[in-house]
Amino acid sequence: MHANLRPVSVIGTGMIRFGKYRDSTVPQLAQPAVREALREAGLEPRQIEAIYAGTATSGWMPGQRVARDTGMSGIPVVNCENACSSSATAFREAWVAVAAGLYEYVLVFGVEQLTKLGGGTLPLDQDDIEVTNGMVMPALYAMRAQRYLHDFGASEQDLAAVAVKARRHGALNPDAQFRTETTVEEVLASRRIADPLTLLQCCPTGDGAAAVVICPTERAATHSSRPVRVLGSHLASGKYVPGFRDMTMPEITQRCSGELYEETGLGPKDIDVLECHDAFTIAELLYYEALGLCGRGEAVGLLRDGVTSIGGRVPVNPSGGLLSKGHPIGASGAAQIVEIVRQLQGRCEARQVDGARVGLTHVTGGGTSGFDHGACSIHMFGV
Amino acid sequence: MSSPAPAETRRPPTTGRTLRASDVTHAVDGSPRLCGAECAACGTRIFPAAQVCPSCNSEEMKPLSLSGHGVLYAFSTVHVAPAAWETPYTIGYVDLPEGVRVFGKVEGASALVPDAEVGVRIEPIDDPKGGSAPAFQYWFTPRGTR
Repeated sequence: MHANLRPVSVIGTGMIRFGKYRDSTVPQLAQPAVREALREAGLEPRQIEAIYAGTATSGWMPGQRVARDTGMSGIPVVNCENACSSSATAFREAWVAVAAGLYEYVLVFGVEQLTKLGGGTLPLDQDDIEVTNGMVMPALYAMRAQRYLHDFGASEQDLAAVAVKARRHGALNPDAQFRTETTVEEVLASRRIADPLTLLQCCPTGDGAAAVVICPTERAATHSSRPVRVLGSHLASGKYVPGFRDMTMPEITQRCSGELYEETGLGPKDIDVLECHDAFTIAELLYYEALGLCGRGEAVGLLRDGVTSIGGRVPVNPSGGLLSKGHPIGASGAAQIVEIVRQLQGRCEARQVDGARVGLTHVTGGGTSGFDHGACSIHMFGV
Repeated sequence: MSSPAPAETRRPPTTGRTLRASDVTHAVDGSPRLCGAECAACGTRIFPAAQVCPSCNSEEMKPLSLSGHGVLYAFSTVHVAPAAWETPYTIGYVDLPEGVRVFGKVEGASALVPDAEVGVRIEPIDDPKGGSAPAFQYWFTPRGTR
């Protein structure tokens, strides 16, 4: 940890169940999550000194619109757009501000309403040469999948097994968009989206919101019986690589996690539970390797052996992940933090990871030519 | 999923953006070639060309004629896309001998596997914007087919 920054803890969490809320507005989605986080922290709205809001498609000043409707107008509001890393980026900026001594109590929230875009694939940058030639996000991951299967001898059944695990976990999470289990056969028989990926291997269209309140660790005990320490926070951006790139090793995640491990003095072996960016089945397998949970080509074995299931050595996406809990883009980073904080507090009931003391959240984001991804934000938490 | 656009407005991807005249050069035999750029300062090679080197920020970018064949790194047939695009279509990345990876539409994908040799087909088209400069588009095709 940086020597001149003070320790920071999470003292409040809130989220709404992810799903389709076509008749809501963005502030209406965010309000319940924000109010729950404040209530958990035992704080009145007037005690919050700044707001950091993460969202990708909610228009101008989403943070102010939520502050207006929840008794917090007038204080500094920072709106963060970083694709799927939007609210993880907001959390990091809030952490920097509190750790630096600028504020004592800060609210972070993420929100997204994808149903208003009409469903289907996400609209990407129309000036990008790959996008104008037919690139869509599922195809980008599909090509990673094809290459991974080719290079490491994995099968489409191995990919489907990721979705089966996600749904099994999600079935235990009351806040998940999908709460039904599935089978390898059902996953492979679902509609083709971008070969080899089928519908059940892709995160759903959905809406959602999640919020957390942070403060200096020295104040945390007066607000929470189980505060959770922020052990490390890291943000990386895509590095332009000319020429050939290995699409089975997401460089941005490997670099961002490596820097975080160095910063915290903790490594993959210290992690008891983690939430990673499983926007598509292949992503989870690639991230096992990029985050250092196993070596190159070993991800399928890790999944098959149950290491990453609840009850295994390092459960991944106990919430159901993006595949089952849902992926309202800008809300996902904050929702991952809510899940890991609650896991470390021992509050997750049926999906609780027993004895978890160190947890990690990982989101990436953005399809842009020349990069693996535009953004990646990784946080580590501990009790 | 969104409902499809009326048939008359749907079109294959790639017809929206054509290659600019500067993206295409011609080999000695007159056949069209993709034209990228090489940085005279650091040697970085890119496609499409740019005025500034993305690796070292130099402005010494020279035109680079690219081979008409390469190796298919990965590809995917897309079944769900923005409403204006006709599906299915196949897209992929091709590694050219010059060390440049080019993204584009793939034809004849059923006959292809990763690491297959493919050709780059470039054809002049009518510029949808009605400009006077020639416009082109390109596909990757199984090697030997034209």
